[in-house]
Amino acid sequence: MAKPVIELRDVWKTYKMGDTNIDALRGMSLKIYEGEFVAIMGPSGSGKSTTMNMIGCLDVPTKGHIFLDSQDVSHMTESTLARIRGRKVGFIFQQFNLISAFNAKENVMLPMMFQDIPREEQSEKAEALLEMVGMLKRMAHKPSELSGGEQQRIAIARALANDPQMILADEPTGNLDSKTGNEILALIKKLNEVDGKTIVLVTHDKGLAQKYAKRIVQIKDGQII
Amino acid sequence: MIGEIFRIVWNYIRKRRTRSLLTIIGILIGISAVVTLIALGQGLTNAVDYQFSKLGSNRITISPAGSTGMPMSKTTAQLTEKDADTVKKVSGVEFAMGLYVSSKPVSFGNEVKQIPIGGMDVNVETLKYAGQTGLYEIEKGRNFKPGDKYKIVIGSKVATDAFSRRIKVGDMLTINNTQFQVIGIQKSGGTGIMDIIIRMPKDALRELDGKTDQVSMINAIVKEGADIVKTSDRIEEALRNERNEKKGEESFTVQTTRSLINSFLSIIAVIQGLLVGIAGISLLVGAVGIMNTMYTSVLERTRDIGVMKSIGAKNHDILLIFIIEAGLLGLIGGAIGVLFGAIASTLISAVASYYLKADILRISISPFLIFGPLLFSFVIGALSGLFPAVQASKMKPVDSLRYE
Repeated sequence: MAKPVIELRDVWKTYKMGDTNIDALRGMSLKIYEGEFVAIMGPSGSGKSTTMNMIGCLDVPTKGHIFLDSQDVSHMTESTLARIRGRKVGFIFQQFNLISAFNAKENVMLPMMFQDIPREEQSEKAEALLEMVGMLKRMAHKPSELSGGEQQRIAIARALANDPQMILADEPTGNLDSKTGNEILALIKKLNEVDGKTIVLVTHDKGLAQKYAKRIVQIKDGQII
Repeated sequence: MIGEIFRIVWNYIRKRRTRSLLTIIGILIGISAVVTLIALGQGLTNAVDYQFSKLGSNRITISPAGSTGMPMSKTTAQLTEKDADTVKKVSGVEFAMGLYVSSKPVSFGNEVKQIPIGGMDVNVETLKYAGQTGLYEIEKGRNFKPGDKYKIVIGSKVATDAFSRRIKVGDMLTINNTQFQVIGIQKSGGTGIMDIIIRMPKDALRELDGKTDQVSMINAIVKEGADIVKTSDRIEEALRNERNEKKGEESFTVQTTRSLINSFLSIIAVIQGLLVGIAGISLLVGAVGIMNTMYTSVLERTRDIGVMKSIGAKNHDILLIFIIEAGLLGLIGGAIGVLFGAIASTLISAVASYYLKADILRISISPFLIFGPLLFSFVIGALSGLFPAVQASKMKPVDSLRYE
């Protein structure tokens, strides 16, 4: 099999709540391989969000190691992590999280701005990606002028801006009606099948997970079951 | 990267148009007040410098110690014609003359007024240099000529305001029971004292007073190319020797126009500093406005910060975004403020010269007065944005993404 894109090795995450310590993750180990489409499922409070943060390099573990592309990222500084996730991870959020002050095209260009990519290239790439998600004619619109489905398509284009190996989608259909939700997931599936992107889908919808993902990981009490 | 950050910042400033504008106005008021006051102060300084330079920067005035140099003040120490002769002989002195001033009741028609009278020599040499010492110019009638005695030249205000009836050339005034004929009326000097004085030949004034050789002050002109400071030192030494006085205990003072200008300018500088300081307070208020706006923005954009960090923004990218945004708000306010300040000070000077009929403010907006405030307003803005920016840059992406 291919090498893992991301590996969690005996990862613990402990949060301090006043005097008590809460273990959100208890020795979790997980490997996600290149080209996989993995769904992560679990009830709220199971450690699902914390797992997602670890996979996306948004947070560092209290104990244990995380390897992204065989590189140990568990003790890196926030700025180093920022640079790495900007290149290697594409995020798709439940609330779309487009920057409201920017138009669609500028939102897609934003990840490239932080990687010092020349402006010409940013512009061409952004337009190509918007065309791919069917949003080219909307590129001058602000997020507030777009529907939820349209915003999520733009968010997908943004996630692809720096050609990341892995796309991390956190409840991407949570704020969409089922028809639009299916369209969005179909688009994500295409990224996996046609472009070979590794997809990590966080969801609580078992039906969606079974329909689109090739592997389902169940989390309970900070561990994989 | 810095170019990209400017693009990001500009989007945010445009998005929050009203708030940005209000914040900018806060800085604008402070900067325009400071620029206006500095320009006016500079204009006043230029005008004073100009007026004094018109008097001639080669002039030395010797007056009795303790007097302010104004001809009418009374002091116990006295200068005499002998002192004036001594000054004349000092090397570097082109010419010197003693002025004798005494206040007298003057009657015209059936009115009597107390008016200061300046006695001057009316020989060829004195008349030639009188113009150079900046004493007076004749507007109507004629100046003295050698041999005149019971003739007078009057200040412009004496002609128009001293008596209910206007005095004309050829009119007769009675001073101490002696009749004097007005032969000339001076042009208004603008400096006040010269306009309210009557000039008469020194011999005639001495006759009225009965005093022998006292002079109120001595005016000296320095030779072309001679050092005015060294010459004034030599005058001081010569007078000390002649009057048998010790250094530090002189009964006279020697002043150059330069020292007069400087004491004047230092007063203006103090007043200007005070006013600019007060205007600076409004600038401080503007800076607090920027800080307030930036704190609000950081809070409002917590989610954006989280998103930017998750898609690759480093801490110092976020820091720069907020600092540059604050600095830019300051800079825009500063730019408009400089413009307003330049317009305001030019208008004020135009209005002032229209009503006072004199160039009392010579406004010049120097590059320093344009670029100084621009830099200053950017720095003030950036500094105000520093704390909010640090707060924003330290946010954890996980926490800020969860922020509602």
